[in-house]
Amino acid sequence: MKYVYICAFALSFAPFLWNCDGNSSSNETLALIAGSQALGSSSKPRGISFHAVVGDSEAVCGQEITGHGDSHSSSTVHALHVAGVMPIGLKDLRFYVSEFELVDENDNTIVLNIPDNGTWQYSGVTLLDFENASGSCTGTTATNKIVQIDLENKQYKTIRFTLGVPENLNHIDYSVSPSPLNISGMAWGWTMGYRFFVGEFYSNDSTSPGNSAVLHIGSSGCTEPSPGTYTCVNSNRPKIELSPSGGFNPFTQEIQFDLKKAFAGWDISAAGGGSKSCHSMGAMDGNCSAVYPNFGLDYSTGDVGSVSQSVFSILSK
Amino acid sequence: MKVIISITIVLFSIIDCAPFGLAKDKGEDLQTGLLLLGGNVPEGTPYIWDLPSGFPDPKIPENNPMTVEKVTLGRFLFYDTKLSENQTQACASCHQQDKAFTDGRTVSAGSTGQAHPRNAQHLSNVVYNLRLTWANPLLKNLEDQARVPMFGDNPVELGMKDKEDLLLSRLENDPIYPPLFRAAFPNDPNPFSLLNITKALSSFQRSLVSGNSAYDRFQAGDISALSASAIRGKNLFFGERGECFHCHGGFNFTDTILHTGTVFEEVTFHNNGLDSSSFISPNGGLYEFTFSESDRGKFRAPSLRNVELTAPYMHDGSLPDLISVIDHYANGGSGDGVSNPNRDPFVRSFSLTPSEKQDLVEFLKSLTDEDFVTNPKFESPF
Repeated sequence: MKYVYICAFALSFAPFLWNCDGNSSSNETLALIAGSQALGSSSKPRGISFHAVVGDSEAVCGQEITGHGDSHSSSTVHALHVAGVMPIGLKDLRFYVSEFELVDENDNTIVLNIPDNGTWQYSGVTLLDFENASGSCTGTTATNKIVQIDLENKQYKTIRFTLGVPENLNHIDYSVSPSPLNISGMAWGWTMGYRFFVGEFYSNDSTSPGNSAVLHIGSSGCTEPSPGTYTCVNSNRPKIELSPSGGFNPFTQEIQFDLKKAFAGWDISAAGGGSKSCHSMGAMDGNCSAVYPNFGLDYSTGDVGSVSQSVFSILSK
Repeated sequence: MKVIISITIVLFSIIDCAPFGLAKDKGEDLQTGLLLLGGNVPEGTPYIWDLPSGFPDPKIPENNPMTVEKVTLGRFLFYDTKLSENQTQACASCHQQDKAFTDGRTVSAGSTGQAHPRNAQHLSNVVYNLRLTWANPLLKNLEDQARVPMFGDNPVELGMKDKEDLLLSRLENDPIYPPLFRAAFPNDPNPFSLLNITKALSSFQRSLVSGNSAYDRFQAGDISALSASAIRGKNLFFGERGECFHCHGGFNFTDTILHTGTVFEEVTFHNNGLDSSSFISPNGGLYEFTFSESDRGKFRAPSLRNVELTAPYMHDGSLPDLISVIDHYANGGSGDGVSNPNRDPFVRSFSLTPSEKQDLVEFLKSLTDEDFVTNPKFESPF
């Protein structure tokens, strides 16, 4: 609810603003969006849109997610499932993105200066939030599926971004940080940092009800050699680069995140205790090594690995 | 009040979307604004330390000076189950006064029943701790540490992750709290904030000073305070046979200390020779932060103040009583820990007769401070 209040308040002072919430399902916010549209603002927030799926299904809260197979002709039963189970109930799906770059057809690299907007974007970091606290989801009702920025309506060769909070912002005091760096669900108090990626779901599969899959990605092996200066052994920041054959036009295309691909390599179907978690705690946390390559990372180093990321792709809106 | 309103409006119009969420955390900025305008209002009643003899002045974070009002508010918060999502636990659930603010369990259990991998630490003299928790080199302030049990999910302790608004509204709607928060943070136009909760909790914890044990009275000249056995134990403890004092020395019986006289902060962690099974995931100790194999099993040497009341012992609660601890060290470790290359050099076998072991136990018991565990100022206010 916090963000709705934020929106309501901000809009009352600045009615020409974009709606703060990129894509919320709450009625209050929809009303606000309608209000801002009626006042003649841009019809839709512009920027780089994201979309979260679980295989063939939408990644949504408040209902069982099922039918997320690659293909029903597959003879491998696990190919139809997320981490070996189906259906699932989403618990959490939020992540920070930053360091956006576009490469145009003349191979010019355009570093995007993402504006602060008081809610989802601060200092180049955007929180994408696909959970709305309904059903088995935790978090808040507000959601955000866009990085707001004015872009040209044109085709780019490549888009690049980082999944994570840059190091210079990763160890600030979240209790007094501007939104979206002040959210306890994304803070990692134990390491004085942030979780860059939080993805969690429950198994609603009759063979393994209640089993859970929890994946938290954040910089690890962090120490503070001198006061205020932190160093982390493993950065754990996936660098995403997408160069679809037909190019990328932010007006017509969006970036898709696939939860199923993020959890490829895990199996939580074992009855009575098959839950798996990865909290990115280094070698103490053995489950991570199977799923980190899905993000293009080698878990032992936290750097780019030998396998390209598979969780993000470009699709038509 | 007009000033506050105008500053607030200016802030709102500058940072558009932010204000409502931020207003809760913007207190200090507004406070700074007020100070610049000449209204240097004292933050509250300065807390007067009543330190035991030989205790140095504690070093308090500059951004959270001790006041009577913050200590009072912190005491309420420390004992209030509203700080857990399902309202079953408070800080005091795992930190109970009669046990020197431990819980007597091998490892603690959170509000949802999830087992914690660690044994709850006591809070005697936590104001002097250079680092907090068993082995986290990053947690230097109680304000930062407080967020771990409140918002952590691995394990879940108080279970308040993503429930900041719920927590703040619970407190705002309890008639006890508005006057307590306003008194503790008189310069803050909106005192209900996470930051202020952690500041108050920290202030209360910093007031938990323990220094009136039989040992302290002995040191002050009352030679009748210790039995002959305890005196023999004391000599073993501080002698080169026991070598206990290397890691558990000084007024607080630990080797990492912070006070106003501290110039060089020496942060040390030790592998104390427990069996390697005590150092596997998720109990790697310092290794969890450095990823250096030589740091596996290294933990902070806790203060031995009130140690009689804080059983069971070690980070994983694996040793049930004081005699087991003494046997462990006299043996130079336990299980394969005796040959662990990370083992601290002071953990090496030495011979003690059964009566000498009992003398050491008697000495350790002399560190119990009955006043501390019965002090009404530290009791639940509810």
